[in-house]
Amino acid sequence: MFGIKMGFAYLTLGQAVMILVGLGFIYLAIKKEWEPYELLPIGAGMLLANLPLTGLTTQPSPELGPGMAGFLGIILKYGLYTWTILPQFIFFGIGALTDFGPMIANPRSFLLGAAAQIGIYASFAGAIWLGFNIKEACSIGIIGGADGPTTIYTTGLLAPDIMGITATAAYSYMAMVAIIQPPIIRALTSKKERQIQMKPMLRRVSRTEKILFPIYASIIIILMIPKSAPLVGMLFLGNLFRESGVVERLSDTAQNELINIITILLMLGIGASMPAEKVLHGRTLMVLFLGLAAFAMGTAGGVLLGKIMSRLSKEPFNPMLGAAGVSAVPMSARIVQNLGRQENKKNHLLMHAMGANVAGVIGSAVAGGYFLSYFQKLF
Amino acid sequence: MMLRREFFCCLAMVLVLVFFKPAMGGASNLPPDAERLCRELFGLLDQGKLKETYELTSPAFQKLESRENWQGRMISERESIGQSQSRRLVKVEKTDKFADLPAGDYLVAVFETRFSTHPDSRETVVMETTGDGRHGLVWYQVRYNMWPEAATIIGNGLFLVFFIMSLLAALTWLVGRIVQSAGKKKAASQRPRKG
Repeated sequence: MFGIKMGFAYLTLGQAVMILVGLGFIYLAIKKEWEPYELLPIGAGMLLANLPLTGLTTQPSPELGPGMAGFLGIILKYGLYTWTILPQFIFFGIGALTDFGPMIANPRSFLLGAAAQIGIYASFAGAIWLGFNIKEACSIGIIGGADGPTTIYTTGLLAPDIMGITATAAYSYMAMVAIIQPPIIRALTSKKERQIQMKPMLRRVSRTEKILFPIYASIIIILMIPKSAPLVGMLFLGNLFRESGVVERLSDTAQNELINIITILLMLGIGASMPAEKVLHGRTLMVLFLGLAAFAMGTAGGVLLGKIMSRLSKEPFNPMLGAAGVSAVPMSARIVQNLGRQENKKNHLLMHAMGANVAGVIGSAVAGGYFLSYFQKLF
Repeated sequence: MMLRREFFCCLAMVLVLVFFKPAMGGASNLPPDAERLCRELFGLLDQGKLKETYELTSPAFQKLESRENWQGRMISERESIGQSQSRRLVKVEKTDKFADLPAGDYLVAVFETRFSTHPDSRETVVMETTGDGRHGLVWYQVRYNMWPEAATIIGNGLFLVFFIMSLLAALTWLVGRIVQSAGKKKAASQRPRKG
């Protein structure tokens, strides 16, 4: 019609479904404000990638002529599949945004950050049981870390075929933290435990400690798990920029412009990595289910260790803090704070929970790095 | 002299057959074109040319699955397994529906394969039979008893996460103590001077 090929005749049922899913994401982002910085561009990417005849997701290759690759294809190829550069830069921005102070002030938080990674391994076992191969199982398990960039980075290298769905699951579940975590926390703790009041103020952490932490932590982690370097190295580099106080412009850029630009590219890419033929099948439902299970078990693992620590600790220790060990920053910490306040108006758990929360970021990067090191993936 | 040459020719042929056989033993139950396709596929896989296997897929399938998707799947499926040592066809089955593929005329071939890393593996090759009797690849999967490897990953992974985080906790506590006591000493040394 009008001398051109229109898309209507080429629109498949699967594409129509994915367009509706994309619109659903856009709705949730705008109307419900669920992780809008992630879900809005993911929804838009999904929408654009599933409109027929656009060529937007055509990836550059030597066989294609100049100008034949689509911009989403270019983002996918260079940002996610070949160079996997985007998640690393997100980690750089996260490092620049993160205050490790609450964690440094209370080193017990590290253990909570570790315990919450149990969900990763439990879900990994579940994925193997459901017939996924080992690399796919690693990629599915990592959703339980509730850490979007780690999920994207690990999946991009181990099982790029399911990257879109694992990333979307990670961000969707992070958006639903307020729905997923409270029932698990309530189920595993008594009212008395939830009421435990902790000292509201943590000790003041000096600038020297904050500067030293990213240096020794990155050296130790990278020496032990070299393949975690792209994530851990960038996280701590960003943090060193922040805490050094001498490169304020660079730190500002990492915290604002850079992370914003990278978020746009990364989330559009994630949305574009979900054409209908890759998503609309039974395996997707299994990935979503396993991701949810990973998230739930991560929360449970953290709370259970929190209970043990509560019993062993001389000072009052609220076991709910363990739930903040999943690295959904700062949502998990806020959930713990709100639940604590509901049970005891005098309770201020936010700073303690933030410690566990940022420890979870490190824990999930370590877990992702271990998966990559296991397969000796070269990049 | 002639006899000796013939003997060596025969011996060479036997050796070729013996060495070729383990690569795909018993594949004669497959139609010749499907057998050729499987040989080509295994040849590429055993050489680590995972990306090149897309060339063996059927044209109809290529419309459904992009080169990048296929390559990604093959890498995740096969990359860390390595070369096969022997391969034996155990099952051939015709079906009109397989997994999420659209209805069609499919041939499913299952092989018992011995890899150096995984001696008890099963490879499934699904081929689409096209109108002219030719075959095109649409699916490849390798499965083995993954539990021993999974147990290693879970055990080592959990141990490392806890070990590293505990080490960081101890070190952070120690650095905190050192920095705090250094700060106190500095403050104490400054106090008399002010006085």
